Amino acid sequence: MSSEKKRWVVTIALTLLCAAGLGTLIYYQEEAIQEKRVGIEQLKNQIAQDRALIKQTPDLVKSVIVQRETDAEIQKILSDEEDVNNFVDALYDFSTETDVIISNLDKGRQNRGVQGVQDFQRVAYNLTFKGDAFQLLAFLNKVESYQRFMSVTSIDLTAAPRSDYENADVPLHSVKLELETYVYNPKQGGEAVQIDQYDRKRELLISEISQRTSELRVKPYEYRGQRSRRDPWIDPRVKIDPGASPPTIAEQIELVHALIERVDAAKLLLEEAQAADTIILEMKLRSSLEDEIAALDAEVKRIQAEGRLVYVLAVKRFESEVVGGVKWLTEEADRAEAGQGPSLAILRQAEKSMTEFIEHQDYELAVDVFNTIEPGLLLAEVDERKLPAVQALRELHTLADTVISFEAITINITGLAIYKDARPVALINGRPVAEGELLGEELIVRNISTNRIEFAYRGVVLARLVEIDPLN
Amino acid sequence: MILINLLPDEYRQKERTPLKYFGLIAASVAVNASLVAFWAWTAFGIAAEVSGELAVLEDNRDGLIPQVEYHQALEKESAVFAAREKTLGEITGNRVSWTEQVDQLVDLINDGGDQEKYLIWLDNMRISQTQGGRGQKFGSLTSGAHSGTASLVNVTSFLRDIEQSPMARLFEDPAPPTGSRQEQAEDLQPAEIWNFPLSLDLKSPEERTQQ
Repeated sequence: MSSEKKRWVVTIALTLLCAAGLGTLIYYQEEAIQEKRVGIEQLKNQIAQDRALIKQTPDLVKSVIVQRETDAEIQKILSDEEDVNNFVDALYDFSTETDVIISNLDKGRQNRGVQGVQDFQRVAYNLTFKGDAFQLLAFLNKVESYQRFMSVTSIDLTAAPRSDYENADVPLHSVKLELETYVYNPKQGGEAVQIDQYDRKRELLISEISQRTSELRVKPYEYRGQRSRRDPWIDPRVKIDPGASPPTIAEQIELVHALIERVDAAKLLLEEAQAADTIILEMKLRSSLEDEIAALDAEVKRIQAEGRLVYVLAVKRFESEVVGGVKWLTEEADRAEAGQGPSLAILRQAEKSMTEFIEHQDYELAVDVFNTIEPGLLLAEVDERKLPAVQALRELHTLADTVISFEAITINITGLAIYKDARPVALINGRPVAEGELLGEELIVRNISTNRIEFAYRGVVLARLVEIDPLN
Repeated sequence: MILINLLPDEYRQKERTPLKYFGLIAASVAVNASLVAFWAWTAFGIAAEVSGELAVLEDNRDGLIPQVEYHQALEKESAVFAAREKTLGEITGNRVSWTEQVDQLVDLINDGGDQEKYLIWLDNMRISQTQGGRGQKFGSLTSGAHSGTASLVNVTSFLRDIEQSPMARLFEDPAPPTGSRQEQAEDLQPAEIWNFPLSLDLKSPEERTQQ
């Protein structure tokens, strides 16, 4: 190979080598740039996700505050170790309050129902006692309304045998209860995250916290007692003497039904008397009512003495609706005469008189009428029907009394200054007073015009005529 | 043939790079210079810009990390509380107010429609409440019962009243009426009675809360 050719080959080789080297350098440079670009995209996405997450932080803070406060409420609802020790004491207190006789108390099966949840530990008790149906209900209600969560998981009641009916005043049933409660002992969660201005934020969330805690609380049932009901675990059939011939069941039911209708009619009479518009009508209605009550009372006593009612439902209705009804009517009639204050008719009459006196500007007479009736108003306003009339009388008295007090105030108007676009000023009792200013205690100048000045006094707007020539 | 140039140096023709070779060198320099320029542009232009952008974003991310960690810590705390509340909800949600149910049963028996509809009394009462599921019941109220009437129609009427009472919110409908008539008791009134079983199955917690 000639030297010329060698030179060509070497030059081309060097050129290519150099170009290849530079190409490689550029390739790796591009790779690095590409990698960084991918990293940039990932970082941008990450930052966008982080920002979206952080955007939710204020809501999460609120949620955690509510949850923390609710958790405090959970600790109040569920027992802690100390409360469980008091649990037995509470059961005995309930038994005393409801007159049930506890004969046995032992621990039941533990830790059932909340598997895997370490924070809540079940504590169960088996309880055996004696009591009638209503004592059982009262006891159950005490248990289920207890400030700490308690639940009844099983009840086993065996009714008192019929042989007990004659031996005991109240036949008592045998009852076995299984009760459970939960001890709240939070094991996980660690330290609470620090939240800035926690107290202030909690204050702002107070209504939400209150709502959540009320949702958590188990609403107790309002047990209203026996209410003349019979115990369903007592055989209601009655023994009848072989020689006796009581009326048939249909006749007994009919007799009681007729008496109930009479009691209902007497109640209507009482309502009419209480709502009578005039005193004369009220007296007439009350007289009829007293006669009917006396007649019903005599009938009740006669039936009780003869022992004509033996069918249990008839006896029950007779006792609750007839005897109870007559007793209620008697008490209501007595109350109307003593301790009920003036009747509705008297109150309406007084209201009418006071209104007329006030319309004729005889305020002293209106106050006199009120003073006459006033001692009985406290008793009368207890009755819902009389309350509006009593309130109307009091309002009329306040009005009349305010006017009298206002008239007694010395208001000497000696001048007026009324300019366009300026606050009017009056010269009262020797000093200038503008609208809205206090003239004396409770007396505010409300409006000044050329012919009269309005005052606000004890919530009432009153006016005095101006008897001078205005300055302008 | 060998050609020998015998001319003195000053008369000899000067040696020059051949034009083709010169072209090759020029092309080589041009190509490599272009490559160097492109590399320089990527290294000091684009790569620097990308690195700068990356550094800014990393700074941004570093600034967000404490806030993200705070958020995650709050989420963790919230999840623990939520789990507790859920468990408490399950515990309290399963509870049945037996005072209310027994009180309503007493009401129903006493009211008996118009008090002349039926005369019912019970021998016992068994109430049980379980977790239920997998074909098991969620609990029941059972009792041996009597009606102080000579007709099974009154028992049917009582069971129908249970279906229409507030108790139906928690209990399935009672089983169809069955029973046996008891012989007349001479010294008791009413003398004829019907004995029948009262059996009410508790609905599932979901059904109980839905209604």
